[in-house]
Amino acid sequence: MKKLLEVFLGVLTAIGGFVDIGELVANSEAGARYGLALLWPVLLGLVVILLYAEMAGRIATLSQRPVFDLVRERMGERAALLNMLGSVAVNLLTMTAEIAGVALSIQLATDVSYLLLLPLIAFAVWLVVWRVKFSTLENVVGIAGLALFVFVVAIWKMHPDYHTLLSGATHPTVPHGEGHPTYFYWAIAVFGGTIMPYELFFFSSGAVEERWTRRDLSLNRVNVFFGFPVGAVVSIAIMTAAALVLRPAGISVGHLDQAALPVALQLGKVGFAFVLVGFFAALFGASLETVLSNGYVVSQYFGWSWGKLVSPRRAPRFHVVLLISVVAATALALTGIDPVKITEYSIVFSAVVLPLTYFPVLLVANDPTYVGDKTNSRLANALAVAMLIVVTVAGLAAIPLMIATKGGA
Amino acid sequence: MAPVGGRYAAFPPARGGEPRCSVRRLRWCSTLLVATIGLGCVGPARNTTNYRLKARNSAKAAASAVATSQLAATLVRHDDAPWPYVAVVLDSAERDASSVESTFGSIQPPNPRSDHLRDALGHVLNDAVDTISKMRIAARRDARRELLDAAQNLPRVARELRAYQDLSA
Amino acid sequence: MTAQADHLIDAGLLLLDRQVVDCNERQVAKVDDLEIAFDADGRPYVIAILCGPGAYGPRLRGRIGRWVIAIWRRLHPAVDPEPARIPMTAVTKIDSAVHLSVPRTATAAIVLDRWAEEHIVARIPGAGKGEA
Repeated sequence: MKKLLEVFLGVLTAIGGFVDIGELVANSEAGARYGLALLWPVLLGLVVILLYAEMAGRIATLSQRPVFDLVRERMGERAALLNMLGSVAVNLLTMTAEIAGVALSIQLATDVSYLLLLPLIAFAVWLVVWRVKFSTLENVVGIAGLALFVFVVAIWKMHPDYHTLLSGATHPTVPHGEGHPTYFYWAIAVFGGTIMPYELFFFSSGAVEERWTRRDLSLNRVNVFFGFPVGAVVSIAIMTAAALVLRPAGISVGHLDQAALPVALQLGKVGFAFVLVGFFAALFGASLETVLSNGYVVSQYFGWSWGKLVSPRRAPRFHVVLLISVVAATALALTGIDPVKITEYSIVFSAVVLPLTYFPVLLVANDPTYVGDKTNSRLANALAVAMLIVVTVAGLAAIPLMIATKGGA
Repeated sequence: MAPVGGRYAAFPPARGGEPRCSVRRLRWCSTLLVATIGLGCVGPARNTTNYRLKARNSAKAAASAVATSQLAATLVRHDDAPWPYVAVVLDSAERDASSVESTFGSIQPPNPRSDHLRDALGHVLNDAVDTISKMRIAARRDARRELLDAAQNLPRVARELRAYQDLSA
Repeated sequence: MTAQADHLIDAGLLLLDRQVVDCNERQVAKVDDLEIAFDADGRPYVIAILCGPGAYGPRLRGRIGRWVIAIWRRLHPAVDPEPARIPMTAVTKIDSAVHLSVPRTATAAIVLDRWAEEHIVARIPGAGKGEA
């Protein structure tokens, strides 16, 4: 039973990581614009995150070293400092969008302007990271996030022509009137959305905090190989629903409210209620993960004591970072800047930071000092190197494409 | 006794030196970010082709807002969603449409021949914003009848916008 | 480098930038720098771990490094401050981390932690218990 509950660490990371505001909107937009021609970046992202989350979890389990410890050890104080600053910046942007997203999801139910709700949400997020026990949080958010499976139900009820859908996914073509650069910009946005850097920080730090030991290695596998695919299914379902409903109508998605349209049209008020719960849980989970990740990254870079299982007074600088992060993200969100645009930018910029984080993980996963006899298999190494190349290429292409396509316009 | 920095030769760190320009590169990136965000704005149209292209894109963006409103009307017709949600959907569709209208309106037509296109499309865009506004107002008053009445205008607006989406450049 | 002595290590790879943890597996600091001494044959020995801004700043080099040192000097209560120092005699094991035989409260590396605790965190309700 305890094992079953612990799987929720993976589910929480996956729901909050795969499915955050950027995902909800970027995948809806990708589906509305390209049908399932952008399914492959989701699957590619899934392979990347499976490989690297498993490695990071294994390293954390066997050596008690979370990801950013590895970054600092392997890249030295200067390169790691740049990575740290970059990750914190990306995290802050993401956090801003997630907190605004939570407020937006409440706006969907109440029609109260999200700007008014923001301070309240921000306070709730801070209160949770300040006081609430980790396991409570995982279970509540993990279970509530599963409400997003309503997208799968909605698709099933639409009785779509699965054959056409599948051939659209396996033979991706750029629709008439759309340029290739724009297509690849959206491919990177979808790909980057599935492998946001905070997922690794959060997952490996969680494993260290829960004091996983050698016996928990199988738990790590189950978490990764169950949790992340669950997130991927939801994220593919969101894309498919948009492809089935919004694409024929010629709608381009720019707001969170549009992402809920397919379900409401198909399943009515009950379906809509599930969407709301799912949005709220996924976005609240993502807010917590990004806030905590900022604390993890900074504390682990400097070697400060960190963690949610010790009292705040025992990890004071960690909690100072959390507090500053929440305040900064809220202030940024209160400027009224479009949360959807902000996530799109943060996804693209994260693609730039990612290789610097993945590389040390790959190195250490082959170092017996850390993982003993559990080093990577040849196959895992080959795949991981290939994926690192993919991530690097995506990272290099991200900013030029963003400029060339004016942000995927 | 001496501290072993990177400088001190006794225990040089195993990894190579850092590229000196990394901080400068960061600064360069932030400049790019600012430039990218700036690029989102619409510039003047250089010639007729360019203007027609911009008209086509504006019609396409407005059509998306109109289609969204049509789906919102469907929700209301079947009583499939709570009023606040319908109001939020219409509110953002209205903001999208009116931002398209004002952006298109502010583009300088390249020559007098383009004025006709500007007036005609401007009229349709205005019609779209008006219709969606009426629907949004009705939604905030929970007025089902008025909302559906206003929505009857949407298919016509959508049809007119479609004509501009097929505009050859 | 041949294996002529058991304790010959590549300090740059094995020690620098590692996490230091105390006897309760709690984080103390990073190995920001090392203090070495030479024996009669001129062979170097690591005698202490240096940590905190005073040790970290010089390694950063460049303008940012100078800023770190300058701010640290200005804010440090001592006139001519020294970086926090953990003697190698307190180290019991070096693996993926540097393990100490003492609790973190017995080291000089957590001065800033203490400051943040007293001045910020402890003032917020619900901060919980501090360390003994």
